[in-house]
Amino acid sequence: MFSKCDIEKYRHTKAPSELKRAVLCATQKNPAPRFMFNIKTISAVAACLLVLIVSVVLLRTPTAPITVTVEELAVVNTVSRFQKSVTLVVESEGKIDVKTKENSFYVYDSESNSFEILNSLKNVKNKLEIIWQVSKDNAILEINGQVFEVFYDGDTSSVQIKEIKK
Amino acid sequence: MKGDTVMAFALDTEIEKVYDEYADQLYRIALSHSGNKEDAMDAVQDVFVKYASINKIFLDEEHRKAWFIRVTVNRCRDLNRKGKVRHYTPLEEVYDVPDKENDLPLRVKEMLEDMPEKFKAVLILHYLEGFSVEETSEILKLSLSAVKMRLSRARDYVKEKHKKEDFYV
Repeated sequence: MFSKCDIEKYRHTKAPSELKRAVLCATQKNPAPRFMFNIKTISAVAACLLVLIVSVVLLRTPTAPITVTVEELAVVNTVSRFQKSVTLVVESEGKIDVKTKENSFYVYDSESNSFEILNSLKNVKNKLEIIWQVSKDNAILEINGQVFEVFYDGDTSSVQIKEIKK
Repeated sequence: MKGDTVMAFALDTEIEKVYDEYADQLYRIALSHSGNKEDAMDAVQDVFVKYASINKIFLDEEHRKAWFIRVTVNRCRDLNRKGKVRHYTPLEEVYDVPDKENDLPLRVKEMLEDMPEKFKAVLILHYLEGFSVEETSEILKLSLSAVKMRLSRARDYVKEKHKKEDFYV
């Protein structure tokens, strides 16, 4: 098609010097701000934003209102080692997160058909039943970021739960 | 296509920088299409005026380069269609034309003379400017198969016209 010599000569062809003057003169009146973005930069920024948004959504504490009611003598008859326990029924319009350091809270594990000590549970939907083994000591339970104190009220002979500040 | 990370605001000096970077190549391409120096200069000037007047966002340098080349090719086609390409003296009447800095080698001119526009563009970009078939298809926004077909037909055209069977490239 073309010899190497022809191609080399072709590529040495230069625009006439008068063309530069003409172009600069013609374009002088129409400068426009121009942006160049590297697609990689845009993608990286978009990815970071997406990760940030997802993290915020996933990690945020559920804030839907919760109600905690106490039911006495719930399923404790099947739990022989409990002498006296109550069921705390936690209900929420949204998800439920609970955590505690106490050893007196239990939840029913359907897989093992037994009660397991509650440490923490997250994203439980709408309703959760927690067994509290009644003791003289007050127990602290954190539900959806709110801290509750569970205790036996000797005056009323009932288990009470009240919200306390952290 | 490769690209460096650059974010720049164009001032008046940007036009000059961009001109220095692309003018020679655009001029060669325009000259190959139009066949004469004056029309090539007109086409290149129009391209830079367009560049200066629009507010286009380029992804990277390769994107901008492709834009320049494509607009130059299209501008040359428009000028040809509108009949604004000046009549020039047939090569047979010219003797001992020296290879000037601003003109194409004679043999290249002969090859491109009267070649249909759509063959010219792919042939110039691939064989003369050295773009790969893939790059040519990206610049001209044609499919790979279309570029290959046009290159094949361009070669057939040259073969037929000049009755040569040997390929140098």
